[in-house]
Amino acid sequence: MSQPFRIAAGGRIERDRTLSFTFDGRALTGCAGDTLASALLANGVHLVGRSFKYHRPRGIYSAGPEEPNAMVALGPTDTHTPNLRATEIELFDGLQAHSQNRWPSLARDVRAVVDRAAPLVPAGFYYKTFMWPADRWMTYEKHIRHAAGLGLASTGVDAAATYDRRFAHCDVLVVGGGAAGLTAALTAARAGARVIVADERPTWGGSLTAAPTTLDGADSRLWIASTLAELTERDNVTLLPRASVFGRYDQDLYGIAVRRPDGSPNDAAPRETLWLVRTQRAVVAAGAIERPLVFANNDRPGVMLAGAAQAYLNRYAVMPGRRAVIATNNDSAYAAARDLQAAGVDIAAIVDARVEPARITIDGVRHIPGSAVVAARGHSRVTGAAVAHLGSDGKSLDGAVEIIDCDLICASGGWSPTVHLYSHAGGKLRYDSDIAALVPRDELATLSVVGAAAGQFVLDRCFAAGAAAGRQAVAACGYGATVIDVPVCDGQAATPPRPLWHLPLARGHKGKRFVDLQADVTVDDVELAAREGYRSVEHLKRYTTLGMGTDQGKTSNINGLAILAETLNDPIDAVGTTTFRPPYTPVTLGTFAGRETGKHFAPIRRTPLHDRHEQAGAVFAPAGLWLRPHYYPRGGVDVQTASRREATAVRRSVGLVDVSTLGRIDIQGTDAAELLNRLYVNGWSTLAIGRVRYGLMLREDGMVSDDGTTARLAADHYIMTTTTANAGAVMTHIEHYLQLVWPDLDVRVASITDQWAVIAVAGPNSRATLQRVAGDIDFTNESLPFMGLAQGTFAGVPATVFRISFSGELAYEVAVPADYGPAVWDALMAAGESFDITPYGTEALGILRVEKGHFVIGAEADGRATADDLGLGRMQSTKKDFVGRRSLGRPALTAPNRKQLVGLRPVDAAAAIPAGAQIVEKPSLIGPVEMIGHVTSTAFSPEREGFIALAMIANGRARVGDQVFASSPLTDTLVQMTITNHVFIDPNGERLRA
Amino acid sequence: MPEALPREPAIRPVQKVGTASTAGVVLTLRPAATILRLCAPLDHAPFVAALAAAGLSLPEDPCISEQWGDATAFWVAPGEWWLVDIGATLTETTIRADLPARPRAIVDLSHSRTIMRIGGSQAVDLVAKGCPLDLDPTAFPTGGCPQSVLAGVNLLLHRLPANAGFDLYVPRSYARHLWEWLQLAGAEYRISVAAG
Amino acid sequence: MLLIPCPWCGPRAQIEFTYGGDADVRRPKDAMAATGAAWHDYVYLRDNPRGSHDEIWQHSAGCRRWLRLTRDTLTHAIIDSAPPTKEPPS
Repeated sequence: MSQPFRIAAGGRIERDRTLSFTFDGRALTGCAGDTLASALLANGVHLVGRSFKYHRPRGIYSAGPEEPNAMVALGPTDTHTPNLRATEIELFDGLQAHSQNRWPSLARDVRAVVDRAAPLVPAGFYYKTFMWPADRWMTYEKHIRHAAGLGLASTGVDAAATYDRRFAHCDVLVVGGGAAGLTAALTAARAGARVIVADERPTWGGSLTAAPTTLDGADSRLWIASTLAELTERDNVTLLPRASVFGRYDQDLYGIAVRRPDGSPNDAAPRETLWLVRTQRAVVAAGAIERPLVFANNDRPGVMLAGAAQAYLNRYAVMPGRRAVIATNNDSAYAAARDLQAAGVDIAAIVDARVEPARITIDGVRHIPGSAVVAARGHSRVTGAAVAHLGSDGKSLDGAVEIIDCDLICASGGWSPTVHLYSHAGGKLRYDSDIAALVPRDELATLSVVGAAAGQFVLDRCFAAGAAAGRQAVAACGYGATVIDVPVCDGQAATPPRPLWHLPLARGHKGKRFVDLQADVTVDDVELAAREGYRSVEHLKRYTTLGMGTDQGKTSNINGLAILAETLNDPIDAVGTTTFRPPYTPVTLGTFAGRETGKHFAPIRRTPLHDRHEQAGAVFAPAGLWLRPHYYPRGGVDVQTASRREATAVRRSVGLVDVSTLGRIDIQGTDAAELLNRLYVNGWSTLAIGRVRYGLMLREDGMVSDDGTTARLAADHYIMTTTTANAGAVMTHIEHYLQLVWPDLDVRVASITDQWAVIAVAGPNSRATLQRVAGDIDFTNESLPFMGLAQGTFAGVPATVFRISFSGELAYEVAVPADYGPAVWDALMAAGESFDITPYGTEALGILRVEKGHFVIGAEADGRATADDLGLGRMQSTKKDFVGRRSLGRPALTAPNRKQLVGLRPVDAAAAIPAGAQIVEKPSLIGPVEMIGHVTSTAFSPEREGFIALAMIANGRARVGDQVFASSPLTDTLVQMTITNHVFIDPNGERLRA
Repeated sequence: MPEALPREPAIRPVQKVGTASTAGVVLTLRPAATILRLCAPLDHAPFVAALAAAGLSLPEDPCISEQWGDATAFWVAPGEWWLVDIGATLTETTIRADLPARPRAIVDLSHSRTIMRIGGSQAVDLVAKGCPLDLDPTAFPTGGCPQSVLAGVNLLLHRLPANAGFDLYVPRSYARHLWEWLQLAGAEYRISVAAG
Repeated sequence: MLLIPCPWCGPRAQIEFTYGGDADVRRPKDAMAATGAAWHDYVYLRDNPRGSHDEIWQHSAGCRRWLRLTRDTLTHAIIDSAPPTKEPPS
């Protein structure tokens, strides 16, 4: 095992479990418990990527979700997940990772030339340069996008990857499993509250695991272990490791992305699960994020946050370098220096911006007070640090620059509390000059922030605050008080930091000073933006892209604000901050999609006859959520051939079609007829029991919204039929009027769509077919006339038969309880065998209805058509109010030139009619030309042996016989047409009454 | 006799993964039941009182079920209940004859719902993958019958006694979708499908 | 996703509900006698306040009852939920 930077002892890894992985194809090994970042560092790999804009070499900068640089693509090339942070990826055996934004290779990236041309591409360069001519932007953009950017989306489908969703509810959600979080969780759990604790790491303890800590006189591991043991044992606690709480939403809903431990023994487990947690109270103990120091070339591989270096050592037993310079403005880096030194790293110097001594002293290490690292030396790896003494204003240097050789610069610019969730909840921030950081300003009703996330950096106070927050949360949920002993630990405050937002440049040591490493934004960019008038922080952000990377500026935010404030000579509070919005860390789209992909993208509804259609070889088409047979190819013919055969069978003999998808609503009550009177344009008081009537519904604005037949089964019992697409909307519409507008009507409605299987049998032989099926229903014209209904036994099951027709032929609809549907279908197929009974699909249904001139909702009645436009003006009762009637008197609805439903036939009988064509008077494809109407439906009519169409044409009914043109510039076709009546067959309806 | 009629349910389960002892979830298709939607008159208090006097008490609290003779009465809406008879002996005619007061409506929904039972130690985990209800017994006790959404399907969930899990009353047209979804989502719990 | 208290079924996730708009839209009692202005107001005009707003929602995946919800359009806070028969606060 060659991991030259792995130290011999310590860490929380499993040394005995060696894992193999590749990075850019290079085979490496690490240990179980490593992250990809720690394993790379253990192998001495620092160069892991190229930067967004300048293609500069970049290394591993942090040890957590704030990582701005070390983003990789994980997985095989065609199915990889891009832009994952190496600092968060748990190592597993066989892991494959690739670096990003480099070509042809990471070490030799040809676009790095941009870095040397950098003076030519300042902030706003693209806006300024490629703005004119405006129509060229699309051309430029392609190239800009190619050169800049991060990882690429994968092109393949990772079939093995599943993502999932989980709804959860609790009393107290604790975010962060460190000292404050675990204490809050334990306090709440002991009170009996339902608690969920989430932490983004695979292991618990937060910052306690990054440094050796003594609690109650013992190693903090003992406290962590005993606390976890109790939490695990309690039924009322759910522990979520590997869980990024990425957003807080309305009414205390939290989004949490929970990763599966890779190599999980249960292969069926989803890769990542979106937990949607509804909680009463939240305790946010999310810790703090260390800030970079902004010196020249502060992005070189080998420059790392001091706390990260310490974490790599203590968590993963990895030495991030051999010889380190510590650059700091606060005490925390001293602890890092102490641990690194103990592990054998040569600490070349501690360079502290402060003059006053830190609370920690380290023997045998050169201490350079009042000074700063002003530049990093080296290109793809640090080779030294340029150190100079700072002037008292922090903006100038005095004295000579000293070069100190090193391969690691551990930088600490102070700590920023992780206030994101607090901000999502609407909390405002204030600048705390004691710790030089933005902290929560107010108490929120249902969310409290504790520990380092609240700017509390003293350990014993974190424990106390965690316990207090836990008690407060459970009290708010109605639980009693609990007692918890917090461990005895360090309670001493650190020496205050010296605010240091950026460092001056030293003569001879120029270089870019990066504020935002991920978005490649420098001090010069921020200052330029301010000079150009971008004084609002929101404008600064958008102009420079500061904080707009996938890391949302976790490490850059406050440095950027402070530099803007300095440039404007304003206090930091006055500059304000940009708004933190979810997600806190990037969440893969797969996690949001969950299981709603592929065939489970939306639920699929199937009719009771679905299997029969499958057996008959039907090709299905979606109709809303339903699957309906589109056509039955019989011998593999295409849709035109099949549908013409099916339509012809209905006209000449008999066909059957599954109409179970139509909405059906049961209406009962003494006011049922009155309800129908108010919903439909026509009258219902005269409909006899056992009869069926066609009805038309409007919206209140007077436009046709739905239609269908309604049957009267008994004195106060009706069954309404709606269109397939509008079934749900009509039900909601009726419930709306019944509950809110006419609550005094004595009616109850219930959807019974799923209760019935309904088969329409149509064609001249339909009666003969029905008569051959065993049963007690009399199908003669006398007993069951057109628009009548009969109930009885049919094929051995209870059935209701409606004599109604959509095809224009003699036709019946047989409705039976759903589970009996297949048996009835079989009986009909057997009875009609000698008539060559033919199942038909929605395509043939469309042909038949266009031939008959029936409009449909959505095509002819597209929300802009009145009943009169559709030729049904006379259906509208003048004796009653109904939904939409009051609007019919509006002048626009009776204007003389409204589009009206008509038929169209091509003058050249062989010509096809382009679907969706506009109707024009002149034979011109090139506009401008007045459009007097449009084609709404077309079909090839086997009956008329040619194409026919329905159209909505201005004043169309008065223009029957006129010649016009159907113009389709999309297909470059222009067809001369004759306007006809919209009914192409049997205009007097003799067939359906036969 | 309904048994003699040629019924074909929405799902024909295929038995899967043998031993129910290792399965975290057991999915079973339940036999067809009689489901009648009973609607009280506009002013429903006298109706409920008349039934209660006849020993047929209907649950008045939302989302709760009660024993109702040999059947179970589910509250589904104010003044509306489902009478569910697993034995399928109840009919609209017998109900109408037995009721001491006239309801506004009775609607037969027997064929409109497919009943699936989700049992096993991880039944709650599976339901929580697609249903936003709080499934904790304090919020959703035994006998509770809330209507909600599961995997995009509107349905009624009935919590069974003795930690036996849930009966799902699934609109028939969605049954196959949900049945497949439950098996996929339940795979990580080693779901076992019992032949119905 | 809001948590909406159904007056009957208790607090439920927003995905169980259908939005119905302004609760104070009232269909004129005698529609045919309504003035053009009153009818236009009823069919087309809706308030869009910043702050407290009375809305109707249907518990479409639950008891299918319409309810009256008072919601703050700025903060999304839910202020009140009641059966629709409740008169609007004057």
